[in-house]
Amino acid sequence: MTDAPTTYPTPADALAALPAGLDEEIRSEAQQSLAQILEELTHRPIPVGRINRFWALGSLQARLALGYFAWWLRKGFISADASEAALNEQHLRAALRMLSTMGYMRGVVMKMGQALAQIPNLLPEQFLDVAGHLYFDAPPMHYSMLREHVRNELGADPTDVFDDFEPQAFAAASLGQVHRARLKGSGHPVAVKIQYPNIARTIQEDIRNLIALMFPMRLSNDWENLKVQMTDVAEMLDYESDYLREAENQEHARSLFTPEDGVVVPRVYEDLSTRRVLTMDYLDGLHLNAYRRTNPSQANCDRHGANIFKSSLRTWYAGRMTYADPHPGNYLFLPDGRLGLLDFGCCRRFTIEEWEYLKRVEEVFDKDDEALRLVLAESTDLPVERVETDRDRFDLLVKYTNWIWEPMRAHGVFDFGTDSYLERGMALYGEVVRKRYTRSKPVNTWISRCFIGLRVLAYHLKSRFDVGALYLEERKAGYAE
Amino acid sequence: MRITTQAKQQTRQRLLKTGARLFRKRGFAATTTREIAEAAGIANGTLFNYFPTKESLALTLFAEALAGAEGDFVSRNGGGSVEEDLYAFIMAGLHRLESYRQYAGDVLATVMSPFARAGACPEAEEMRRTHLESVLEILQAHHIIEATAGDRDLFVQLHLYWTIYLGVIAFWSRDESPDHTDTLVVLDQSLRLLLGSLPTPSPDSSSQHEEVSRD
Repeated sequence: MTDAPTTYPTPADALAALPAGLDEEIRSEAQQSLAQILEELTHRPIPVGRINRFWALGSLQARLALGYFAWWLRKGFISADASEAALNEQHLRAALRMLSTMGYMRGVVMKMGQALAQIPNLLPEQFLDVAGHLYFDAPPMHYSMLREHVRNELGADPTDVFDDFEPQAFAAASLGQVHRARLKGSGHPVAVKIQYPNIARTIQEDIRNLIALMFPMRLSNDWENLKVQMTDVAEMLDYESDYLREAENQEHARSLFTPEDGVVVPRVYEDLSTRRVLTMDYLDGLHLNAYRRTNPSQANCDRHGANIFKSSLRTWYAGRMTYADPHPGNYLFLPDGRLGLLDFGCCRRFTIEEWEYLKRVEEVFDKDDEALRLVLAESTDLPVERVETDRDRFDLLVKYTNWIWEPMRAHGVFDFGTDSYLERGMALYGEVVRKRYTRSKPVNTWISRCFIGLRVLAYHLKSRFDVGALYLEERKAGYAE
Repeated sequence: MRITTQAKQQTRQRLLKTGARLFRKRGFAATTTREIAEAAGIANGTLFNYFPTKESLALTLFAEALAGAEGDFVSRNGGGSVEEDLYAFIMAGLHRLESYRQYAGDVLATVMSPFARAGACPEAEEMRRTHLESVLEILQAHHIIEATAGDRDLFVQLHLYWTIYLGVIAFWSRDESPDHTDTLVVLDQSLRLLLGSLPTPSPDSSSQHEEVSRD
């Protein structure tokens, strides 16, 4: 089920990715700094003041971070004119400092990696490949360490709590690793997700560091909004580290589906779960890449694509939460044709205010762009007057929102497998990022991640289905409840 | 009056038990040998026939606990990587030392300090020797240190291990995280650091054992 990593971005890749238009002196300094940072990350001594950093696990993540930031720098400099050079130099130094810290930031970096890897064409292909493997290839805890951790959590060794506990993890996630086992007595197969010790505390600390390190890079008045968004990310990551909360989300989601839906959510065993250990039914199936290698029929791809969207729409409308992490590692294609949904750590339950806001956005689904502009003013937390004075921003955001809604407005089967639809969306998203029009209500971060992730999954499956009908059906049922 | 071996053994055990109780109750530094002797119902001078210092009494407690840990390790492990075996071996010791954790740091800071005079505390020397013998056995079983290694190499490698081990013990003795979770991570990091600095197993031996993780 797990693909071995093939290539990693090398320091040379990252250095080569530095912008061509840079002043030679700055470029040389940047190259030296990058090389030095990589060297330091590889041979980092124990950070005495931050003993809880996962420094020893950081080499792959550090390399990835290096790649991301080289990319970020290149993008930033491409659009720069001469007057911005001095400011960019400052940004560059800040980014390098941040990069050197991120070698420790296991959880955060992996989360960023997963988010970025969802977006084809926005990252160089080799970074995308490596980031894709992070879904499954986090460095594991060895059994001796895991045993101590489980003993603390469940009160006994894994082999005493379960039958046939497999010491080798069969899957790894950003915050934990997953082992196969059987329930004592019944022999029922289960998956036991075990969180890396300490990661919950380090996440908050890492985000605080990240915000502090980004401070010199504040680019405009949107800095405060960015800070709010990052704080929101920190909060969600903190939620994600609480497996009891995840269990609650998972059971909530499980209650939303019937056997006829063709979507299955594994049952959680509460008596064998804690904040750091989550025991659930084991689902035997294939992840996206492995499934695609079986050359599935178009009908199966269409059905799975529709089920992926249905699961998201159902949790949204009936469950009032967003499944904000729709990456390939969270879906299993089962041999009987059903779709398995995994990992409910990154779910956001909508508050009443958020739900009302989302309803207001939906009210303009069938209306013209002017109505949409007004809703987008609320969405970006900007005064309505800005709709007129900041036309470029709102024109772009309208285009991006229309792209999101395009499949639902198609009145019939929509083909997600064409390059043009996804490319247009990625180009628009890239422009939003490049122009730094990312100011937004925090909830939109998660929604956007969900929307893009779903479309990328459907693209990879080459799915064709009537998502508009599905959307209307689920919305109607959800609002009726 | 002639004291039988059995009576000596009983007195020794009583002193150990009383010492452990008072150290826990009053702290190691605040407890005197006189108080231990009084509480155990023997003359102060008699205590010194058994334990020349209160440090040696405490170390005897630790050494007996660690002897049990060796058994725990052997019965529950084997077949893992060198990192796993060392991790399990050290954790087995920490579990056995748990009831002494409150003052273990104070005792070890005195007698196990890198600056402590060699031979000043024979019990400490013995504890170190016994522990390192077990570690050497694990490293040799995984071909990290070959049986033919020169004395100087052996000394450097084991000294490095010992220094790291004491660091872990020091951290554990002050670890206030729930269930000492931080110690689990520190031990993991420390062993990665140690193993990253030791020689790689030869190709012949690595085919029989899991490769040492060096990331």
